[in-house]
Amino acid sequence: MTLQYGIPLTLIAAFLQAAVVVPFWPLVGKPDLVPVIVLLWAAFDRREEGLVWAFIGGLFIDVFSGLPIGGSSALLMVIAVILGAVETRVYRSNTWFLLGSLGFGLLFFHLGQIALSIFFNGSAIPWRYTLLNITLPALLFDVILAAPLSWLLGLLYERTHPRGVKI
Amino acid sequence: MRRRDRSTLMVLGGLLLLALLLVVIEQRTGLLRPLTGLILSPFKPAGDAAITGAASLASDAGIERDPAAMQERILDLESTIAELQVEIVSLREIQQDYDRLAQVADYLSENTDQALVTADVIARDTSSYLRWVIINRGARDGIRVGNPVINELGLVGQVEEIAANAAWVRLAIDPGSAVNAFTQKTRAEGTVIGLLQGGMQMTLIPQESLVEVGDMVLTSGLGGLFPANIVIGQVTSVRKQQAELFQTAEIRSIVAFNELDIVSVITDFTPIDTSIFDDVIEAESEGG
Repeated sequence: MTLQYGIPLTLIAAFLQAAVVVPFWPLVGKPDLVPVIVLLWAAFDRREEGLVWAFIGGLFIDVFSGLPIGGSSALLMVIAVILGAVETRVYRSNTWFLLGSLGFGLLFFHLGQIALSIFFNGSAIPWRYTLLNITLPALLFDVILAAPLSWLLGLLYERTHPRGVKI
Repeated sequence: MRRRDRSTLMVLGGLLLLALLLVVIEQRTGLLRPLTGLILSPFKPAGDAAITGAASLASDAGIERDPAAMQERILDLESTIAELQVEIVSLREIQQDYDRLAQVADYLSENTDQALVTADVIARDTSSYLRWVIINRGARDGIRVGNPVINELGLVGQVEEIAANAAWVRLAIDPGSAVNAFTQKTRAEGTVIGLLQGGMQMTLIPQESLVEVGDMVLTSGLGGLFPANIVIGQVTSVRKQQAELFQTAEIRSIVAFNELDIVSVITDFTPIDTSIFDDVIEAESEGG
């Protein structure tokens, strides 16, 4: 288990999102650091580790948000399981497939967050505006961010999970 | 089913159950949010530093550099200028804080029935679909859920959740926000709601009421959640259609919600007296 990396990484990412990205991001639609990190890890690791990262990352998202605590965890874990249905080596050998799958996963995450904000915050959501001006730009930035992050997290994953050698 | 798949499913099931349990506990009891304040406390100084550092960097970007002779002298001067720039930024920050606090003092002297707690905004909502901020004061400072939040320009929002040393504030532009309001000049009443697009809208204005562009919109105090007469914004356009039951007005807020750094929480105020309704309800229940 790599929680010694997962907990600080997702906590720092959540803090950066709340204190730097959201206040200073100049464009419409903001990248979501934590979901990108935990879903990439879930794609690399089909076992429980991806799920635990999704659970913890979701909690940190909700600490810095008005959404109910545990809501984002549930969303991210479901997506992590779906991403984990594909063999890890498929993601590792085809970056476009990884980014595409991640994009779909993040779309599901955004739709889930909209549902949570309607249900728990009582938000009135103008769908056309929201999807075109918030969700789609955010997805674009997320996928762009995922490209270098997948390389970095891939290195971390290989370092923390050295391949076994059969003698 | 392979053993690994089974164990993954068990972990998923357990964690999913735990997450849903957290949602239910939070919604039913509100006990979890105070605990999250513990996670936030180490980030309070870091949040301040991040915001101040970004402001300093932004101010340094405008320094002109002259590549002419006397390079050394110029470098010296440039370094002095840079130091002075930083000092100016710092002094401007102090002056702005002073101005804001002076306005808070003015507000307090005009509203002797109210108690204020001033707080710094330390973080913003990570979700793209909410407009909330986190402030560095909480239950320990006397803040309670439901307290109105203002700044020197007008209404900012309302405290929704608290921890010992932090509070989560729903901004007036949040799509879940609703505030009873009236227009200053024509006294038309309605409800101001936040819009995800940014800005606010005054809805539920009766068709017979007169609403004028440019009129100021203030809190009415009805319902007792907010003190009366706090500035919310200004009417920028009015939509009145015969087929609809109510009119709608677009409101432009004077508060810069994207640049909030210091806010004041009204921890105590005298709400509008609604005791007359208690008598009416009592009379009706006795009659029925």
